Amino acid sequence: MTVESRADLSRKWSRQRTRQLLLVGLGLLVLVSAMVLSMSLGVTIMRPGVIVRAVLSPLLPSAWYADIPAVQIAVLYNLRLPRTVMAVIGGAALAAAGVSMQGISRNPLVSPYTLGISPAAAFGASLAILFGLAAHPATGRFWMVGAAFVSALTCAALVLGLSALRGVTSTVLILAGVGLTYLFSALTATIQFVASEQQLAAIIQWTFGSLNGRTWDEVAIAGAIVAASLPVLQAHAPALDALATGGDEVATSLGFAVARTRLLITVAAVLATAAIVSFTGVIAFVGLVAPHIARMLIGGNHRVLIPFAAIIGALLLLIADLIGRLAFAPIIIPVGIVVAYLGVPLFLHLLLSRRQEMLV
Amino acid sequence: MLEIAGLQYGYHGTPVLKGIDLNVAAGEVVSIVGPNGAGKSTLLKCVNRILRPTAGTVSLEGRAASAYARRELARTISYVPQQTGPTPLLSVIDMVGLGRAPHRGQAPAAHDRAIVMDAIEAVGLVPLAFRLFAELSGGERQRVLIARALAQEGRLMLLDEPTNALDLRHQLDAMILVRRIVRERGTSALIAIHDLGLASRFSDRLVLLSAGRVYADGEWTSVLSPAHLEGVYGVTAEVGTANGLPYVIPKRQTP
Repeated sequence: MTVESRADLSRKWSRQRTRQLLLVGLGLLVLVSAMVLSMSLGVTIMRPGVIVRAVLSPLLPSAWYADIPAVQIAVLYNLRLPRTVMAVIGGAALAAAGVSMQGISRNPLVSPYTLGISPAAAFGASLAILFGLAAHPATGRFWMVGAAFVSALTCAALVLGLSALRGVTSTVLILAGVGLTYLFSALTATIQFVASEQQLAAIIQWTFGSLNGRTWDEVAIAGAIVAASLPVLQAHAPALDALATGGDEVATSLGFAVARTRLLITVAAVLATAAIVSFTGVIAFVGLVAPHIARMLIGGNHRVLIPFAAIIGALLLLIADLIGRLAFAPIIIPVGIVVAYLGVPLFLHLLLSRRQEMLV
Repeated sequence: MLEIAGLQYGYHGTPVLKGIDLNVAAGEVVSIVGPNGAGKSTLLKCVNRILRPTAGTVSLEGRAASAYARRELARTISYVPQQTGPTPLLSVIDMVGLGRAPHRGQAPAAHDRAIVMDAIEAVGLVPLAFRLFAELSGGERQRVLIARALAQEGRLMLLDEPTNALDLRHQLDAMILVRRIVRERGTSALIAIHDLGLASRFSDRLVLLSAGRVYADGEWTSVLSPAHLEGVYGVTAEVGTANGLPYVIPKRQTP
């Protein structure tokens, strides 16, 4: 796009903003369609019109959905809707956390898991499994999620604490994260070594990352944490631009309180990631690759990049889950596995078709 | 505009700046020259408090820099960094727009937009406004960074090695641009720079740093005497003017 004059510049700038917002809007539209599609497909196929009316049924006069069997509405509300919403929350959180972590570290290889959150969560869940807490029929789920969450946050606190000792620079942050990743992987491996056959199976199952059996309680808790975290990331979009373009010095010279900003962004990203990982198990790759896909499509301006990456992440996870449910039905392939099969070709395609400059 | 007195700074206990006194008047372009490691970049970073001096004072327009809030300081001092690190995926216009960050919320958005476009126009980058920063040549990137500093509207502009890694033509471009900005806006500039010829030609004053101290300060003809160059750089050199333009030719190292 060449620009001829000042007036032309002004016009094209406005048009560019409009186009970016339209792209975000289009992404949202596709996401909502994918949600409807995901809910309509399953053991029984429901038509999209039915889905929409059933989902909105609490708000509609009863005559509008009288033709839909109550059992269908129940299936939708108790099974498919929470699962779909969890996929959206999870994908959005991991992708937004990934964008932010890549931004503050100026490193395209960073993901929400760089600080060691996922092996730490796996360790927590493994502990709960090893001590038999996870097997308890009523409170098992609570113990497993709780242990994973606490362990993930402990790890993040350790990483931040370690880097505070050396001054919280991105290199220290990443290296401390790498170190703790190995530590927690070793701890989990140790548990696997001493665990019984059944426990071992449960631990491995957990690490696959899955959206099976998500309840509204879980969606609500994860959703609340994510809903508190993502606005923090979005509010720091200009600081992320500055950090991503010139690192600490440039951001400081532009008036940003770098140390505080980095800490806030990291804490928000860690909370969002830990909230998801604890419930779903390890869903790798989304948080690494959704940011890149989004960046290649909409550019590096974090004001639009963060929401767009969140949409891409949600879409990726939702479609991966859909494929995982349908491909070998009634066997459900865990979403953590499918997402790689879906995301890698897409990512490689964009990698090869885009110009070198688009790759950070 | 800027008064520095007794400024000291050290990295991990190793002193880099050992008591610097330096003034920059309004409307003045001052260049800091000196060998690698003399403390040129460190001095700039102490001025806008990217680094916290360990002793001494920096005051801007009569007020201690340490008394400024971070954002307020960013509205007073524009900074053109050295080009290092990974290049960002931002468009030129978004890069320049970052210069408005310390002004956010101080004026209507339309005002900020106008200033960003003014800055892009001032450095002649209108045709490239929507290109990615990463796609540009070194000279074009330097102009983007200067445009960002313009949009920042500081009354003092700090430039860290603005001609590094640029070819002859673009070195001239950058220096002429800085000189023009200072003249047109009545601001000041403090430049850390290696090229003695360019520094002499485009600055009102040179400050020669050596091992963290001011070795000489004044007009280039007095600062860049052969004796000074031998004392600081360890070279014998020929200094003079050709057609009114200053030059420095290093001849050989002194033992």
